[in-house]
Amino acid sequence: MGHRSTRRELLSRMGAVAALASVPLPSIAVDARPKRLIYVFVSGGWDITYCMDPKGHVPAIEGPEWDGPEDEREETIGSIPLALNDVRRGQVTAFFERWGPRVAVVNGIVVGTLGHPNARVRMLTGTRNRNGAADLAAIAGATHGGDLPIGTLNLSSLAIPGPLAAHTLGMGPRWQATSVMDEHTPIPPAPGATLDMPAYAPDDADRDALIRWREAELDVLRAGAGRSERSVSRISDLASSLVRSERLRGRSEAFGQPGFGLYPSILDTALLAVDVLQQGICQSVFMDTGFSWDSHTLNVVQHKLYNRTFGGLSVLVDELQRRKMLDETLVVIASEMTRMPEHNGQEGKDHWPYTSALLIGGGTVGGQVLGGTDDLLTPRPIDHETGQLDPQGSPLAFDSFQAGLMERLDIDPGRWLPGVRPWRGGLG
Amino acid sequence: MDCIIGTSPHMQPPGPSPRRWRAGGATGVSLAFLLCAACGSEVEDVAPDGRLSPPERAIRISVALRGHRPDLETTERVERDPEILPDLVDAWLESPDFGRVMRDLHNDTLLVRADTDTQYPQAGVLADYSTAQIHAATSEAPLRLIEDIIMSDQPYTRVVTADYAMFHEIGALVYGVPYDPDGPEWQASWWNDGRPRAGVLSSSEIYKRYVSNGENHNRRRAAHIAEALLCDSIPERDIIAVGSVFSFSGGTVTDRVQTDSMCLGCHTTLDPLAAFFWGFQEHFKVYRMYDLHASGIGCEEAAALTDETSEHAFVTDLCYPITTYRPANEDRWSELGLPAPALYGRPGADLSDLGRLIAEDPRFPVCTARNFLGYFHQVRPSEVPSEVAESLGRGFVESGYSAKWLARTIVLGDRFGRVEPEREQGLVGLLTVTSQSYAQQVEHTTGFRWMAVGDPGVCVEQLNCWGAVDLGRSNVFGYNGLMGGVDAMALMEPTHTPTPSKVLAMGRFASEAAGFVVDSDFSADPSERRLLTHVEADTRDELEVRVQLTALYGDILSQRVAVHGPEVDRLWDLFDGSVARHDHPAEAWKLVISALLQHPQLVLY
Repeated sequence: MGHRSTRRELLSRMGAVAALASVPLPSIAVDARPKRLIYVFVSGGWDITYCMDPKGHVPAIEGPEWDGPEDEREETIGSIPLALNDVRRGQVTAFFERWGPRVAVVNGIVVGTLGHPNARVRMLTGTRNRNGAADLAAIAGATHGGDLPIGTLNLSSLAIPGPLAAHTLGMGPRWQATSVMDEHTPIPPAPGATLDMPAYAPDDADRDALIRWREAELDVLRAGAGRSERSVSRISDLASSLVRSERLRGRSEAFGQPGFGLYPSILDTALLAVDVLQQGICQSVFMDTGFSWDSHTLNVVQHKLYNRTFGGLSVLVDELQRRKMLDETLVVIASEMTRMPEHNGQEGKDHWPYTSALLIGGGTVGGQVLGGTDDLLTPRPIDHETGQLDPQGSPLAFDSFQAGLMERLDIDPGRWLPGVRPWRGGLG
Repeated sequence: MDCIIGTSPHMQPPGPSPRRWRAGGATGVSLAFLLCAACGSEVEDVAPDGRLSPPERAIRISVALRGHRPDLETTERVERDPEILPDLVDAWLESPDFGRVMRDLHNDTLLVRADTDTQYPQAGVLADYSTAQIHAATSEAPLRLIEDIIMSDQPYTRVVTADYAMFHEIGALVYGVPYDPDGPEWQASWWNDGRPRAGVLSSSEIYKRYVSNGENHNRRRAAHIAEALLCDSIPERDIIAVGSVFSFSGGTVTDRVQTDSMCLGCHTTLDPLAAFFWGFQEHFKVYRMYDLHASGIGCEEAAALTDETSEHAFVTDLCYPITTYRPANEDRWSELGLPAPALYGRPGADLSDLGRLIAEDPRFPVCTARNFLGYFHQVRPSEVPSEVAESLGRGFVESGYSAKWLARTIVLGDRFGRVEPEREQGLVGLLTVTSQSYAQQVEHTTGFRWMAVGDPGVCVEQLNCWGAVDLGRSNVFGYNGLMGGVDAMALMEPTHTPTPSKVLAMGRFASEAAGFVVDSDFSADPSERRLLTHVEADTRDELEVRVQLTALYGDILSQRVAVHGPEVDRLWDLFDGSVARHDHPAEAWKLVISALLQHPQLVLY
């Protein structure tokens, strides 16, 4: 028997394989790591008139005042006009009072479709369908996170990792991944079962031996699998996934133990997002608010959704700032659509094919509103270089918005969205 | 045209064997044969024509059609005589495993196994059932109907025209459907609420998952049916927005979508199709069922407060058996000024007509071909080349809409037997084991089903306690989604590539199964063991161990390898090293079996 690799040597060699995976992973100096990303997805369609696109002065638009005007007000905080209600959406007020000067609001993004899945694909990937598409967080993670345990941590099942899935870790709706990262985590067996779980969990020495064996078997598979693009890609993805899974196995404590079968809250999620970035687990995090915003019935629920979500966002940004990570972490908060200007017959609001986004951190020039909508809640034309309203310009489309975010994250948008003009938006 | 898929039931003979599968004359795993040092060798490079060897092809087809590998004897028979493969396929198409695969395939398009959604409460007649049982017994119903149609060789058009449905006892209790307690677990029956008969189109399970909210007026349901059955993704169409064109200028939303030029492109298709679904409740009031029971009012008291003859009969919406369809509402589209029911301009009166119209639609067989081909080749249906889907669709029609013919033709097709294409077309290449298939293979090989209590300690005196769940197939507590499966709520498409989540989940799955099978085998009589039939818990003799390792290769990977070949050498190193470290052969067997259940050739095949 020849020299046996140490685990470190083995992982290092396998890392070289991963670097040859389907996405080129540029060499990055430690002191020049590109901005990290936390993408907070607001699933279901937020009503932007409740917050960042106030329309209380427009008679044709039924905003939050529609079901109770007494506590509603419009106020500008940090140069951002906002719809506020300290009684029903007090967390929104608190968030902007603290962070408004660092927030850039982007209004009037054209999504151009009304179905949730399709709108989600457009807003997250910048493409019209899922063929070969990946979301921004996955692209950022795969592009810049080759040296980390994982490129992107998906804390939401709504992510679209697409062809970059081998660089992402999905946690599952109840963070089930924690119980497979550490095989010693107890799992309650079903009644009548004759064994406890774990029924078997290899120790470190046995695991190292298993890794060596698997690497040898992978070499055999690679030699016999031919050269088709898909075969090469899948073997590369398997090699990359093996490397990343072993890197994660050694860091499982970073994910905490919420307990088998428990749903995490938005606060749990926000704190984990910051933790894993700080510990160098990943380059980007994709998360959602944990709520469905699809208020076809009783749109008034948007008060509560905004309030709870901005409570979580405050914790997220506070933690980033407290740990001195805000300047190097771009936080994007966006929904796949907004809601109609008027209510339907069930006091709800149906879909409207436009949306807004909030950006904070990562060098964002805050205290400004870019783009906008008119008195029919439809996007107004803008200058794509400045982000300012410009009658001679054109509305901001979802793909341009995505391409612009890519530029801000040092990703070549031409590679993922060829032919799409990046929106630069005067973000500094 | 370079037709990827052959249309003859008996495809061209497989190409030359590219790998050295040295088979012996015996069909069993005899000791004499296992000791043959020359009866296997390391895998060599793929054949120049990119075809799989006959045994590899048999493995790929078996996994596709049954979810698990064939046994070693079968792969060796194929090695000796590749001409038997079509007959094997015919036999596999008759197996219950194929029925289960058909359910899995159709869940990827109908998207009804939504276990992360809210399930019917454990109350009233369901008080003694767990939420896991309720979910499985209800959401699976349309898939069970499709399985029954396919396995009984009915034309596939019956999927949308059948005059019966399949019910589990629990589903029958939920909806008040006749059910024979002495009959099979899943049995044919029908709703007694007067709904038209149209196969899965009549199933409440689809409309429980795909609700109609606000002024959506069943359009979401229409979009889902159009995409699942006709591969027409209406919501993918652009809403052109130039300046403020997409705006409202007075009138109701309903009015505007019938007149605004920006809206008509979708709504002239969508709204007439949506009109077929008005008989169903807009959204089933599952949350309010929980509210009612939590309020302490209970169904008996609620019944006394409710006028059963009213249009919105409160108690029958919330108490078992619940009402989910009202024929009186079928024409409500007319009250709202919406278009009359039609499918792409062809009018109909009710769901039965819709089923007939879909069955007659030329898009239906082509879409079915796309869905089947996409599933087996692991590509998105929309990525299947049109000429391939259309050619296959024509053959499907000529076969009398035989789903078995369709599956058979695909898996015996030349392209399905290749790891390397003649020209890149997005099809073929290595396939990745699916979440369902992995769970099936582990269970088939080891007898281990990963059952656990999903919500211990957090579910006391509630109405949605899941109880025992199958972690290999569950999303809400388990690892189906992590291993690439869909959850029909957020994960709407399978992931067909290895991922860290999949590798980690498979690793633990493999270890639990290995622990289970080693412990149970060594505590059983040798004649009753599953895998460890050549050794005892204290066996350390190298030759005996190698014989067992060889047998494991056959049992788990369906491959014959030599006792002193490189594969067994590597496994021996694994075993021997573990014994040296722990002085515990049984633990070493757990390591070996766990490793084999994570073998790269099990993940990619």
